[in-house]
Amino acid sequence: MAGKLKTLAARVILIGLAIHAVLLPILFYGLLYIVKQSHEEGFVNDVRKYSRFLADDFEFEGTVSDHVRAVRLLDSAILGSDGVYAELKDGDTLIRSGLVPDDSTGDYEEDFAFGQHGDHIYFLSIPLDIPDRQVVLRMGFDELPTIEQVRFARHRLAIVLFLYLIVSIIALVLLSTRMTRPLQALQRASRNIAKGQHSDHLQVDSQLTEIRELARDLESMRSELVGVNASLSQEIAEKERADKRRKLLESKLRQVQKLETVGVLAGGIAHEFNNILVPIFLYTEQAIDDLPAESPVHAQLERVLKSSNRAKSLVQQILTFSRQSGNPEHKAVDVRPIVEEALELLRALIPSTVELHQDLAADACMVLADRNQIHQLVMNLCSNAYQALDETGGAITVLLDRCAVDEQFCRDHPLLRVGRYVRLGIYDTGHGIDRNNLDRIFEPFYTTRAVGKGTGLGLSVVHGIAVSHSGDITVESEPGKGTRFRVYLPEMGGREAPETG
Amino acid sequence: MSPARVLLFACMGIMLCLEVLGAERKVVLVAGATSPLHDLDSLELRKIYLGFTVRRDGQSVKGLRNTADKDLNRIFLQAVVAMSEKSYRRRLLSLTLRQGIPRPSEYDKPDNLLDALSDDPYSVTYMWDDAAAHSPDVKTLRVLWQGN
Repeated sequence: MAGKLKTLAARVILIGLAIHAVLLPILFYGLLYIVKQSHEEGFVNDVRKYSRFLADDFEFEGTVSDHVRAVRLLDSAILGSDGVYAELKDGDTLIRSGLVPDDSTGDYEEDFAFGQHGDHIYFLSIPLDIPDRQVVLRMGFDELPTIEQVRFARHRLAIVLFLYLIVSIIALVLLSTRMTRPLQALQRASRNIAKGQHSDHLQVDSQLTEIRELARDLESMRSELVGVNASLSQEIAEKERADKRRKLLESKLRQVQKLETVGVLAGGIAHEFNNILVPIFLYTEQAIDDLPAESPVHAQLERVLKSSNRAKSLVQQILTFSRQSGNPEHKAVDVRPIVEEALELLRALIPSTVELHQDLAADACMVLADRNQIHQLVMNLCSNAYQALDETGGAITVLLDRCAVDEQFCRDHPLLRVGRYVRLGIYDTGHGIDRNNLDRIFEPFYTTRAVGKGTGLGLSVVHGIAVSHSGDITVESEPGKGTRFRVYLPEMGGREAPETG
Repeated sequence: MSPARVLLFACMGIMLCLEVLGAERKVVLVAGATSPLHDLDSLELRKIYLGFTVRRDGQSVKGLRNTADKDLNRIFLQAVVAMSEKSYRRRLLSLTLRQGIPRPSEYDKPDNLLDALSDDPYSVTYMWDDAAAHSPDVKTLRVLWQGN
C-alpha cells in the first residue's frame, strides 16, 4: 500500500485532492459570503427605498390627516412587499395597517443592518417632513424570505462544488493515467533492455514535450548502447578466436620445439652409434671374407652383419628424422611419378580388404627435394595407413595436387609461408587416433602398436623430411572414422625465396 | 449635611440619570450659524446628497457628509437617502461618471466639518442634536431622525 502511494499517479491524485481540500472550503465560504452580502444588501436597499417612497406619498399627498386613506396606504404597503408591520405615529396617535395582527405591540427596535436584533424583521422608522407635526412612518419587513434564499443558494453552491470535486477527481485520475502511461512504457522498454532485449525500440506516444524528449534521449542512448554492445561482442569473439589460435600455435610450437630437441638428441646419439657401427661392419665383413663359408662362425658373423645392417637402417632413420642424414640431394623433382611408384609397391603389399584410391594431379608437381626422401615419405605414410586398416579393412585415398597457401593458413601453420605448395594427402578410413595420441604421433619411438610391431619412427621420419624441405605436415583424425595426413611441399617457383633445411 | 439634603441630592441624581437614559437621540440637519438657509424638505435633501442641484438665493446648496460616527452614517443612509451603503455609492459613482456631478464631500473629523460649514453658508450637514446644541457655529434646521 505504501509503495502504491509513492507512485506518480497516486502522488498527482493526492496532491490534487489536497489542493481541493484547501481551496474548496475557501471557495464555498467565499462565494457564500458574496451571495449573502448581495441578497442582504439588496433587501436593505429595497426596504429603505420602498419606505421612503411611502413616506413621500404621505408627505406630498397630505394623507396623514385622512385616517381611512392612511390605513389603505399602509395596507397597500404591506401587500406590495414582504411587509409585516406598518403604522404612522402622529404625536400620540397611532394609525396602524389593518393587516397587522391585533396582538402585535409594534415594540420593535429600529434596524440599520440585515439580521440585527435577531427578530427576523427589519424595522425602520422614517420621520415625515410635515410642518408643525412630528409624524413618523414605522415599517417592518420580513427577513425570512431573504434568509431562505441565502440558504437555498448555499445548498446549490454545495451541490455545484461537490459535482466539481467529482469531476476534478475524474480529471485527476485521467490526467495522472495520461501522464504515467508513457512513463510506464519507458519503464517497460528500459527493463527489457536491462534484460538484454536491446532491439526493443523506445517509442512513446506522448503530447508532453518533456516525456517525448526523454524518450528520444533514451532511444538515442539505447541505439548507442546497442552499437557499443555489438562492437564489444565482436571484439570479445575476435579475442576468443585469437586466444584459441594462440593456444593452438603455442601447442604446435611446443611440439616443434620438442621434436627439435628430441631430433638433436637422437641425431647425436645416432652419429655416435654410427661411428660404433663402422668398425663392427668393417671387421665383420673382413672376418666373413677370411672364414670359409662352411665354417659355423661364418653363419654367425652373417647374422652379426645382418643385425648391423638393421642397426644402420635404424640410425639412418633417426638421422633422417633429425635432418642430419648425410647429404640429401635437393633437386627439381616431380612428385607425381614418385607417388605412383610408391603406390605400385604398396599395391603388392596390401590385402584385398583394403582399397587403394588415387587422385593425382595431371600436371607436374615440381618441388626442390631429395627424391629418395620423398619416396620414403610416401611409403611411410601409406604404410601407416595400411597398418591402420590391417584388421578391419577399408580404403586408402592418395591425393596429389597444388594449392595456394594464404596468410590465414600460415597463421595456423607457422612453418609455412605464403605461396604455392604441392599438397600430398593420404587418407584412411581406419580406427583413427584419439586426441591425446594425436599430439604425440610425430615424436620418435612413440607408437600405439604392440611391442615388435613398429619402431615408432615412421611418422617422425615423415615429419623430419617435410620440415627439412621447408614444408609441413598436418593431421586430422576422428576416432572410428579415420585419419587424414596432408604434406605441404613448396612448389618450385611458387614463391620468390623458398627456404630450405 | 443633613440626611434630608442627602436624600434630596440622591433623588435628583437618580432623576438625572433616568432622564439621560430615557432621552431620545436625534439626528438634526444643520447649517452654518450665519447661513441664510432656513429649511430643506426631504426631497430636496435627497437631491442634494445624490448630487443634484438645489438652489437657494441663486446659490447651489451643498451637502456635506459626516462620516465621523458609524451610527450616524447608518441613520443618514436609512432616513435621508433611503438606500443601502453600496447602492448609494453606486448611485453617486454613476452620477459622477455619466453626468459629471461631483460627489458630496466627506468629513470624518468634526472640526473639519464645522470649518467647511463656516466657509460655505450654503452648505448643510447632519449631526447628533446634542453635538449641534454644543456648537455655536451651527444652527439646526430640522430633525431628520428620532430614536425610540
